[in-house]
Amino acid sequence: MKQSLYLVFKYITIFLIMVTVASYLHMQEAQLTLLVAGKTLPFFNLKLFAQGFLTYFHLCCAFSILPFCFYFLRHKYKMVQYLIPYIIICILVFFVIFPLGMDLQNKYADFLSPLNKTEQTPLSEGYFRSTSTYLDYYISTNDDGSSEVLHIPKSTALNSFYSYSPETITAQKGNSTGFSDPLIFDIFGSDTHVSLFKDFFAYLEVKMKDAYRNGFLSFFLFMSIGFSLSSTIGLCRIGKWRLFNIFNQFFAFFAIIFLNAMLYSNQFYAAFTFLAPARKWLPYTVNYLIFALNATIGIVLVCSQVDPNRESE
Amino acid sequence: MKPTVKTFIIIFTYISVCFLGCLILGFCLNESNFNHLLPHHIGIARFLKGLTFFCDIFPSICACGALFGLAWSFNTKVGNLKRYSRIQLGNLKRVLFVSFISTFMCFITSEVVYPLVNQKQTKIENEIQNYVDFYYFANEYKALGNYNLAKFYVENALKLHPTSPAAKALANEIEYLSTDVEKTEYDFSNEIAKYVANINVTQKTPEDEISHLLDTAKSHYVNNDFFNAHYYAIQAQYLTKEGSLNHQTAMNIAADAWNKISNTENQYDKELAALYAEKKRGYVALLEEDFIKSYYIFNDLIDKGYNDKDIVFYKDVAEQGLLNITFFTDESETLRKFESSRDIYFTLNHSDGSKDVIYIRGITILDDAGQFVQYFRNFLLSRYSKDGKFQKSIFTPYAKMIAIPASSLGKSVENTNIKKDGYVPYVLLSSVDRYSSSNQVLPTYTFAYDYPNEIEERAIVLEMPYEDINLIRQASKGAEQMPIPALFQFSEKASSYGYSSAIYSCSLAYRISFPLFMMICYIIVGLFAWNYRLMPGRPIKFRWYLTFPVFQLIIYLIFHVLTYFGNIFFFTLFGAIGTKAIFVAPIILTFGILWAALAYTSLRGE
Repeated sequence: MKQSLYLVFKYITIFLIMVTVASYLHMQEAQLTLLVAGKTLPFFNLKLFAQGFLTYFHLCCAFSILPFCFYFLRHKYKMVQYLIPYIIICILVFFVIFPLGMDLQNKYADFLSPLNKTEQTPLSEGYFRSTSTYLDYYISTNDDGSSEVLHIPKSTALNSFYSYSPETITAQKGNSTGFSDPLIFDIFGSDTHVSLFKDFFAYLEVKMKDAYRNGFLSFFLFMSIGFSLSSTIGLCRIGKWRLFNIFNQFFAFFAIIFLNAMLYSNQFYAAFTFLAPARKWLPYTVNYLIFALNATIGIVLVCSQVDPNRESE
Repeated sequence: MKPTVKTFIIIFTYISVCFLGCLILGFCLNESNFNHLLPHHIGIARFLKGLTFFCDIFPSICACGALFGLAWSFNTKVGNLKRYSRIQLGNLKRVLFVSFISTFMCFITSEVVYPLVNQKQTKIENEIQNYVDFYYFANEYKALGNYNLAKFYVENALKLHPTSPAAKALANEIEYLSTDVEKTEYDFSNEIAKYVANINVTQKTPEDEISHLLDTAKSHYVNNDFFNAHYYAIQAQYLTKEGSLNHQTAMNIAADAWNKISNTENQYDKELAALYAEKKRGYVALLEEDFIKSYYIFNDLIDKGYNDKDIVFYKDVAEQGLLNITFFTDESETLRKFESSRDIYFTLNHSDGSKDVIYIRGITILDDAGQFVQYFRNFLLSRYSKDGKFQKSIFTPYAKMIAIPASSLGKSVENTNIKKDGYVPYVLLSSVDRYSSSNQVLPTYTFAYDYPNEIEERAIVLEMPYEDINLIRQASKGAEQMPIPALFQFSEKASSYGYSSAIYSCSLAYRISFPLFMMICYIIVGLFAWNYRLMPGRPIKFRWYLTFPVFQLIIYLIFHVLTYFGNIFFFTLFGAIGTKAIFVAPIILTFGILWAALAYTSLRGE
């Protein structure tokens, strides 16, 4: 009992570290979208930090499960000692904290709404901003946030080769990248891996909100992903090397999330048209199948062999 | 086998396998990725692509190798270990050694191999761009009827892409159209030698120079060589103080020589008199410092077959004077294909608050002249007043930049960051044809309607240290492409040249801290390896190897996300403490290493 409570405490510690890091990163990312060259990035902003907490705390709860598993697999815990808190935590996370998160997000929807173009910071003067075809120099900023820009074409055409007079244009504030300054976007926004990750979770988040809005049953069905994610613990005894085991679990965890995002996307059904009629119930079925499979593997392994994650005594 | 040796065998085997894998991947990539390149570059481009990919994932390859290598090497029976045990200290040594070697390899890959690969890739990309440009210009000039230039461009296009049917056809067509026009080549090495010599000549002490000049003038006068006598006397006159004895002597010799020159004209027959008059005209132009006019007069005389000593000498003098204010167009045109950078831009702030915005499409550096001569293609300068109003702009198709001593600028250097004994860039904006006075390429000036000072200069001085041009040239390609020392010098000056100092400082902080950051990561990898080590007495199974690519992917993504967070960390640090972040970040990370090492030794065994 004491050991199990200690594990719960560990889980909470992991969650707190994760949610703090996530909120802080959210805050700094949001501040980066407002940053323009020549200004400095503020160290802390309570509003944005709170926004980050509200946006990510339920996701952090779910993702903390993984390091939590790694923790108790590495230490000498008996199966009962970790399995009971694990199951309770999983149920709480997916069926209490997630709905709570949805509720809070609905309640503070205005507070959480992302910035739109008009809220972006006017671009600072005195800097070059380059695209593949044009080089822009920001000469001055007007009162409405637009900028006077020296617009230089980069291409070499004969007419611009022998005579060229500089052209000044007025560039409106704001752009579609989400970042106020293209210079900052080049560093933080153009990272395809990170933006892919974000898009991917944002997409699932949207689907989850839809499901939550449609009532308890649809949300419960959507939360089948919780079952399949929790069931990855069944894979923790699959090999004789625990490094291999935790990697397997890690991989399975993210593969399930990826699979779910895919099963909700339109592109998937466009590619596999024969699955289109099953679109409504396919994600839930797949998730429950994964759950059943993992659980079976887990039970069989528990019954058939000693814990391979522990040193042979 | 010693555990450390075992670990390294695993790491290096894994790295080799990954290297091969990446190269194979490069060769398996879809054809469409390379379609835009010249056909004979596709093979090397595929190889480079594979290498880039390898460099990109190299830190994670090392991490994956170290993780498995260490976890495997830890499979000895240790029994129950307390925190900070002797065995763990021994293991820590191994972990630190592995971490250090991996970090070192990562650093070499990112700072040496990757830039080289990148450079080569850029070169390949530039060559196709140059080919397209050359082909385009060849066509345009053909249409304009300038077959010389058309031929020149199409030949260069063919050098880049010898098998191109389009370029071959165009070359044949131009050849057919221009059978009577012959192309003249010119050796530029003289130009540079002259220029470099010119710099050295000016270093002589005035006293020696004056007596030498006066002696030469006198000896020429005695030998009835009045042009030279006058020339050297005038030179001596410039260098001496007014009222001094030497000044007076020089003036006397000059006056006597001039009288002789003027009187001698009438003594010759008609042809010689005409030659003499022409020579005098050239000489007078030289004295009036109209070097261009003087150059063409003497050049014409040489062309006509008159090449006596005086004519050759004064042509050289005129040419030297000419090269101080302009240059020959053909110098830059042939150099085009050696362009080392494209799209260079910066601003220059003036003491009155106005600023120049400068854009250069391409820069060619002559290696044999050090970095002292650079050619600019499409030089654009736009000046804006303090309140952002357009004042004037200069545009020239070709410009030549040379370095002149900052001391020649006089007092205007005082309030700037230019060192007094340093050099400043001097940009020659116009160019002239080597043989004909009619083809001058002059800069286009545009002035604001209320701009008071409408002077159209042939050359301008950029008020900045000469070395900065080279820094800017590298900075224009992006912070990540700059070598660390250059980045270090540039990060402080970035904002004064129109670049974001935050971006360059953070990039620098990131690059300096990168090895430390990697070191922490690898120690943590060692920590993981211990925690999830292979249990004693358990054999390695073949199917575990098959899972490596998947784990590699996971570790790569984790590293990628970590570097992204690292960037945010550096921006935050820069926001909080400014440029000090460059030094503070490594200190913080050093503590991180200590923490990681301590965390490692505190691990228990079961």
